[in-house]
Amino acid sequence: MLEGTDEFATLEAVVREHGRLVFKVAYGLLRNSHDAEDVVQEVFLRVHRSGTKDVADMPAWLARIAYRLALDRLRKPRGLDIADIEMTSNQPDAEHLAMHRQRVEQVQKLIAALPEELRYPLVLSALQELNSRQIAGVLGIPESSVRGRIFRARQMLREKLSALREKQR
Amino acid sequence: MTNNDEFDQVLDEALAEYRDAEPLAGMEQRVLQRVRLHAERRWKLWRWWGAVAACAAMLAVAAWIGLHDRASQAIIAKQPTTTQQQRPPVESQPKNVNTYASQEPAPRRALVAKAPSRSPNVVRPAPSASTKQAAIRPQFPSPTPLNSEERALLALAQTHPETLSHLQSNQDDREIAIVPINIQPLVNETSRKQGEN
Repeated sequence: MLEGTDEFATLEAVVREHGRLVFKVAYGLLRNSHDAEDVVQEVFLRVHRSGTKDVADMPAWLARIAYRLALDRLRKPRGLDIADIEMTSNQPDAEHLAMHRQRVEQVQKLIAALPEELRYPLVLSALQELNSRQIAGVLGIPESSVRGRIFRARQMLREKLSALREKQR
Repeated sequence: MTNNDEFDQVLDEALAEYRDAEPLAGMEQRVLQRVRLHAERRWKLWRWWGAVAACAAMLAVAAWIGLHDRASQAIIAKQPTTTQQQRPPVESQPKNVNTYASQEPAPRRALVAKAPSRSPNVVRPAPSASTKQAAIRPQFPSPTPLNSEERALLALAQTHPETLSHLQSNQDDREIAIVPINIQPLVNETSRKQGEN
């Protein structure tokens, strides 16, 4: 347990250095700022209890705690009906920028609708603070599996987006 | 979607939602504040539990002392019987029946009070306040086991009831014969010679 001013200063430094990464990991799963911040607080309370002496890879360790806590917070995976994504399909292509923005939103919804085993590696790969080895450590899977799942997630998104576009025509 | 580059661009922008997610301002301060509060709460909880444990320990010690006192009281209550068992049998002491008869029957409380002085081998604990309190019993006179003299008297009454009844009938009108004491004066040899001369 971290006690005393020195230990608390250490904790403060850890919070300032890695707080945002922890937040992003939690946000990647929860997609809600308030829930993600709750997870961040919970993560650092655990750090305060357990200490950081034996931690070799601090970002990966913190990301793993945040990932597990966020998973606990997710009571059940939020499914997404494809009909929700098609709400913009009847809108006219008035402007190219608006069209592009619609596509980005569609992809975001498709990402949220991905299976968890594909979505989490993809979301974590978007965080520049974590490399594939660290993501593998967070998820508890081999590094090669991380790369394979990211590839499959991208492929699935591409197919679904193409299908959506075909429907819109 | 026309080509891969466009898809990658759209996907990258979609993932930017996760990459560029920013917490609300002051998140670090809030986190540290919560950790501090949690630590203080834990410390208070530990102190409270410590106080509870200390109180429990004190209660346990008090209860143990109380039980110890009660046990010593029980030992004190049993001790007259124990001392009588250690004593030699009554028959070995030559006693005269007349002596019993001539003596005024001592009150029971006096016998009980004298009991400790008769058995020097028995070590009794110092009478504490609780012991004194225990000595005051709800039943008066306090029931105590018979001592050797009382048991001898009881045995005599059972074996020779006529003797006791005779003694009891003669006890009140019996005359006490006091033999006069004659003391001869001391006489030295020199004074005797002077007297002869």
